[in-house]
Amino acid sequence: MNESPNRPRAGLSRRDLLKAGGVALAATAAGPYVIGTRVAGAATPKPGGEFRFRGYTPPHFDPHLTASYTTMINLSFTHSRLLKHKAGPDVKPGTFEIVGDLAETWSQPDDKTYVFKLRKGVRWHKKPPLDGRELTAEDIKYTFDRFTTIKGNANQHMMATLAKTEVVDRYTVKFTLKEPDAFFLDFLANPMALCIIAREAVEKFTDLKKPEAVIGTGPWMLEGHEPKVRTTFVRNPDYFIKGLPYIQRIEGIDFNDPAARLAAFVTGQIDAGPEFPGMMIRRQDWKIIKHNRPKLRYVEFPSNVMSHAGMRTDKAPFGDIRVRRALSMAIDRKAILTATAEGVGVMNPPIPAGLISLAIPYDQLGDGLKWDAYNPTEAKRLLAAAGHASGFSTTLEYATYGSQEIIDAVQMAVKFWKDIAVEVKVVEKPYAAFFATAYQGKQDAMMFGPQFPALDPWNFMAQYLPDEPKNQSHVKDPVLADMILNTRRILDDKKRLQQINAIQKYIANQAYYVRFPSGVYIAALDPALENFAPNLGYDYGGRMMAAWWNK
Amino acid sequence: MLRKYFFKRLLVAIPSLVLASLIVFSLVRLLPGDVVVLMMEENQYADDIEAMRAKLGLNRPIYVQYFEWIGRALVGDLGESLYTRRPIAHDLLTRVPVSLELGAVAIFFAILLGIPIGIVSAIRQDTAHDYVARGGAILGLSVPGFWLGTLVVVLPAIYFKWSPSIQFTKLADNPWGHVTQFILPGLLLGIASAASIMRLTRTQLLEVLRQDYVRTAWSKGMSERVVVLKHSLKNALIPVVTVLGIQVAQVLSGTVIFESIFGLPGMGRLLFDAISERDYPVIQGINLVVVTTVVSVNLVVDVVYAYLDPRIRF
Amino acid sequence: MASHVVTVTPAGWPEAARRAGALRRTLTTLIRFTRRKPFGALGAVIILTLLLMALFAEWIAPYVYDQQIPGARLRPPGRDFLLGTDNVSRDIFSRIVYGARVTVTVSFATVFLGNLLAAAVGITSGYFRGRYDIAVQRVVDAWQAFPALVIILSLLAVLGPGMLNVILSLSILVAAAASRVIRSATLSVVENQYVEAARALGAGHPRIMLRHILPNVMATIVVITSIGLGGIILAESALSFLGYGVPPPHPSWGSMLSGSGRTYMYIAPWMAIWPGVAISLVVFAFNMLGDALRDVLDPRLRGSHGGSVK
Repeated sequence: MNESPNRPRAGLSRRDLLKAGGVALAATAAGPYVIGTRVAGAATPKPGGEFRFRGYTPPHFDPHLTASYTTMINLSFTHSRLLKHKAGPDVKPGTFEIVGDLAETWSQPDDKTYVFKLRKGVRWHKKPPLDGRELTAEDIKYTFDRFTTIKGNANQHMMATLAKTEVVDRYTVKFTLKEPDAFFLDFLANPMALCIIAREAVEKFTDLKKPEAVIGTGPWMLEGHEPKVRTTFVRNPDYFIKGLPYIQRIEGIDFNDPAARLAAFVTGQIDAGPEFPGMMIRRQDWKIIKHNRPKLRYVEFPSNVMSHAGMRTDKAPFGDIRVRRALSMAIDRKAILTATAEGVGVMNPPIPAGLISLAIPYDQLGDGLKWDAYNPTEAKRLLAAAGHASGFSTTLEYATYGSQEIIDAVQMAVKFWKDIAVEVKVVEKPYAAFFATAYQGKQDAMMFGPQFPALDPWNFMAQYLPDEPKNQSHVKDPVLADMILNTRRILDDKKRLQQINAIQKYIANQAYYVRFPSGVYIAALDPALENFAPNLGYDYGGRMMAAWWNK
Repeated sequence: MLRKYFFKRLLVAIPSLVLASLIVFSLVRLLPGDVVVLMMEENQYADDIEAMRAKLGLNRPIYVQYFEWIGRALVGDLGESLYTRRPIAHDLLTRVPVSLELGAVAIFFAILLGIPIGIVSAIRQDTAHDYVARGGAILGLSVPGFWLGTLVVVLPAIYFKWSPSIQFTKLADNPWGHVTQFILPGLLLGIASAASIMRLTRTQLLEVLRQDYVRTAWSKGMSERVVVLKHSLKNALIPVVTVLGIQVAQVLSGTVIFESIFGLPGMGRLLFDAISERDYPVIQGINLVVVTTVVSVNLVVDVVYAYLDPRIRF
Repeated sequence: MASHVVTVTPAGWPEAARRAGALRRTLTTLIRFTRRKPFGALGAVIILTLLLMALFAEWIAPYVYDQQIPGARLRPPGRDFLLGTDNVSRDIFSRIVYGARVTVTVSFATVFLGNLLAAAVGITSGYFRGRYDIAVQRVVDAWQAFPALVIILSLLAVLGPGMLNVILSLSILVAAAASRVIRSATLSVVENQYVEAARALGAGHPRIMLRHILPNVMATIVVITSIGLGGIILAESALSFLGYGVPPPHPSWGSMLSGSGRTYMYIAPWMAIWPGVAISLVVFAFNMLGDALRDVLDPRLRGSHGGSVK
């Protein structure tokens, strides 16, 4: 807030936000929103110092045996990938430009082949059994072979189109695909699965679950791990970009309770906002935080976590498009945003508005817009036309995820449906049970829950394919499936985006899911942290790499 | 005499422990079949249902399972966590002391608050002293612990930019910080127990004060202090000792909440996580340790009880 | 409240006179009780209010608990909304009133189930002693050696969330704690001469237990019941905090406080304060009433106050 106005801004402007979300929503008492991030000043970066954030205790550290974000966040400090997303103050949150990480250059000789030239002189952390050995193409092949063959890898679908990985020479690796896949590079760059690991570590420790097995080529090395207390990282002096990282030590402190997290942040025990998915604060806490740490820097951008209600379209009454549209029109989305996000949020097209370069601008959604607009009268009329003039009863399965927003949204939705005579009985399930059933489409009638916050469009479209486990609405629409599978084959970026837009319009018009709006995140940072900008996704390490302390 | 009683008590404590270990053991066996399926599917603890059953040891005769488990437990091997794949005994070794420290501080405060308030409230029954002391103690008990904890953590942070310790400090790193971090959660945890102890002290003391020998003492003109301390208190405190035994288990329950708020990596939090993850070997391991602790404490309580009240020895 | 426990009705009175007499005696008892135990009486009033709220929620509450009142979000307590509104624009007073129903259902059902079991175990064990006692006590020891929350959470993790499951698992908590206290009360009662006298007169075991021991440990049962009721309400709120409480749409005080109350405590403190006050007030009331009843009901204390209650 009190940053120099002359410095370039790179956050989203209010106008950008509105474009992204499409719908103007009144800012609340929390005040005007969107404050630009700050680019490093004239001063030269100062190495050293410690960055403390709210960390997470992972179940274990093997990225091929869990899909847990807690593991990925920790490994983002210690491991490299072939590609990564550009980070820094000039990156607009919600955009993900692909740049090289271990790969120096890459090329695509034909539709189904990718060749990567690796950086030379990349060394594994100086820890046994690797002890600083140089990374080679063999390591890349080993990683991808293990990723695609190991049992129990929930992320395996990301490499579904990969046919084989070959070592061309010490620094060159070649991927051959079964069919063209326009999203292949997105998967390589994403911070959620494909970090490069070493064979020796796997062989010595049988898997990579133990903290000792956390040996990567990343900017920091794992220093200590006390489960449920803290995980610490120390600068890797041999990191392949000379001089980086600047920050000497990273400490992720595991605060379990939201009240404790807030207290820790307010009293300066951590340097960035403590809420998921990274350095955020809850909007309702903003006032109290501003009051206590007036000099903090804030960046706002819409969340890519989108909740929706899925329904068994293979069963009555949800097979009837009028019923689905009625259920969607019964929901007052603005009221939900007001209740759960202090009124600051965005309406979501089928790809969350938070992914600003992928989501179709909301006002261009076309006919689908009608079914998102709150209109209980029309909803009732549609229901009557579908033969449910006196409504119907059904069930909705959900898990709270420990989140008050989800609890409130579900209760509100149930009330809105009650208003059009649809009696929805809520079945609350423990998270694990929900994940094994309703999240995989194994619910009786309806389900509600947030979707996986992917950074690529494929995840959000794939759930409309007939055999996908996350096809919670049991959509079997050959026209749509064709359109979706086609996007993978369109290698031209512009054309592909047009196709993705067409798909979003089609889905919205079919009302396969009742899409809920998302809030706008507030990232809160210590103002002395230079050359850092928050973004969506779990790549904490990647974003922190070039940051430094100006104090 | 007392030693003989102790051994006699020990002889009955052992069956208790065996019984408890059987309960611990059957907890996992009582799981409905679909939970085993869920464990496999949700958490990918195994590749197929047979492997999952084998992992839980469900595929062999039940008595073999029990003796194997208890045999390994006796030499300190509690198996491996399904979720973290770490040896459970190893994790417990760092977690148990944290909870025991917290519990000890809580019991200390419970006694420190409970007994004096109970005494005041009994000898001044139905006076302003009684109402204030008792009302205060019970008011403390009436506020949900997690809410007290929240306020204690958040209010000073907001108004004084200070918070009680919410990051765990190891004994080796900072002994002073290590000990002091237990004071606030221990006090809050102790309040609930203090009210029970206060109430029982008061009740028992009231009863004793009205018994004939005490009336005799009063009528002989002994001073109040002598009557209360010498003649009544000892007898009144006897049943209070039994409550302390019960409080140990309750305090260990309370650690689940306070460890979560105050960031203490104790057994309570481990247990809660294990339950969320359906990590039954860990639940089994924690239960066994807790049960052993509590049975031992009860044994001590029984012996102390007998020492204080010879009538009970039989 | 106390009257029907201790009033002895002389047989053979004409029905109407008997009833009038009973009513007068009840009133006198109540007045005396109030004068001697003002805190206890206050507790009784609070509990009566709780019961009325639970019974007549539909008539007392100005809104239905899930009604969203347009334009009335996060209103502080005031003329329009007595206790303010929450983030979903619902009237907090109405939710507290409906919440009383959840509180009453959970706590009374639990404490009834739990104490029934505890009394059966505690009295027989303290009375028969010997091998039976030892055997039973080993089971109770073993059972009690589990921290209550462990069993409750394990059960709920398997059974799933739901009000009935919360009640069932909480009653185990009550029974475990209560049976030992009842047993030790029984032990000291058994020592008394009148029990030995009854035995000498040839009374059977069931008769002695029901006629001589039960009335004499009733005070203990009443006290632990009252503490139990308070304890259950607190336990339910603790379960809510851990995410295993009574799930919505039931507006439970515990989840109002631990969920949305804690989430909005800085901008709308009343969302936490009122359910918190409701919980504390009721727990306090049960405890105070229990203590007062104990003082009044305990047969060994009765004489010292001139038999006022008798």
